[in-house]
Amino acid sequence: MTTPLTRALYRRSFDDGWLDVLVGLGLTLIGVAWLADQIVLGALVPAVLAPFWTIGRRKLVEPRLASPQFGTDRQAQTRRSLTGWAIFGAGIALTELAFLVFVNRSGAGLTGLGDLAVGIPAILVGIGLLAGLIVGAKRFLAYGVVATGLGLAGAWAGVERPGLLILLSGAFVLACGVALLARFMARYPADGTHDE
Amino acid sequence: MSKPAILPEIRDVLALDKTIHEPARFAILAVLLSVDGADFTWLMHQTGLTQGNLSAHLGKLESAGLVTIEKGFQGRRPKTTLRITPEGADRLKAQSETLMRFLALIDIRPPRRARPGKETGS
Repeated sequence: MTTPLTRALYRRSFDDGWLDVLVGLGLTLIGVAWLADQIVLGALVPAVLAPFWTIGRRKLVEPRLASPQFGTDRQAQTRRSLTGWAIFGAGIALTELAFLVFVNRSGAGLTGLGDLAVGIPAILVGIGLLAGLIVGAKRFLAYGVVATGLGLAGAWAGVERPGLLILLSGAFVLACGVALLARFMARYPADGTHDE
Repeated sequence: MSKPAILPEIRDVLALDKTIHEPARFAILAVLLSVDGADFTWLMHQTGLTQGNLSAHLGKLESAGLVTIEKGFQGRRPKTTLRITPEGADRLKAQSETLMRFLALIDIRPPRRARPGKETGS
């Protein structure tokens, strides 16, 4: 049964910071891969990090706080929302790509807009980060705004490497995640599990 | 002389089930109603109850057939899984409806857009 209390408890189950750490680490690694001109390696990062979600929950979170079982309804709803978000993100990416192709072909009339291209990956990252709102983690709104702002600021400041902007966005999310995780670990000590 | 008839809402509130109505047990049941199952430690942290206190309340709820307590292991760690029974869910809802009917008599209704998890009050 899904109640408003279910939603509040579900939201709280992501407050330990582990999700933020993984997302931040992933973005940082993608940024590093881009800076090293290894974009393909960067594309593999999410697949490499995905198993660590379960590992981290088992090793760091569950021994301290344990975890509830949210119904299959709730999990299916989250999966549906994330799929919808991925389709939406892909749509935006394609629109931006089409826009860039148009700018490059039309030339002089839109001078300067081509410079925006450097910020687009970070802006896309910013939009992607908003997906954190699906699990109710409102801090992902701030992450999204920061990444988008970095994308725009980087384009305006003439940064030439998009990887740097992704790395900075990732480092910000990672730092916040580490702070949240440290707070969680201090609040719930490792030997804190109890049994009836 | 015959007894004066009392309002049904008052009669019902006087007959509230005290097994459920005790605040800690009310909170335990509400949390368990909102999840499929919960670990003892998790429930302890969500309710703020001590280990002994939670254990005592769960014992009473189990005796009344309102929750099930399943003991097992996760790896080498003991794990106690708690679930509300269908009877527990029905009785919690019936109790809540009785309370809401009574509170409506004194013009107290839940705020329309109350957001769970947010602190309220001054």
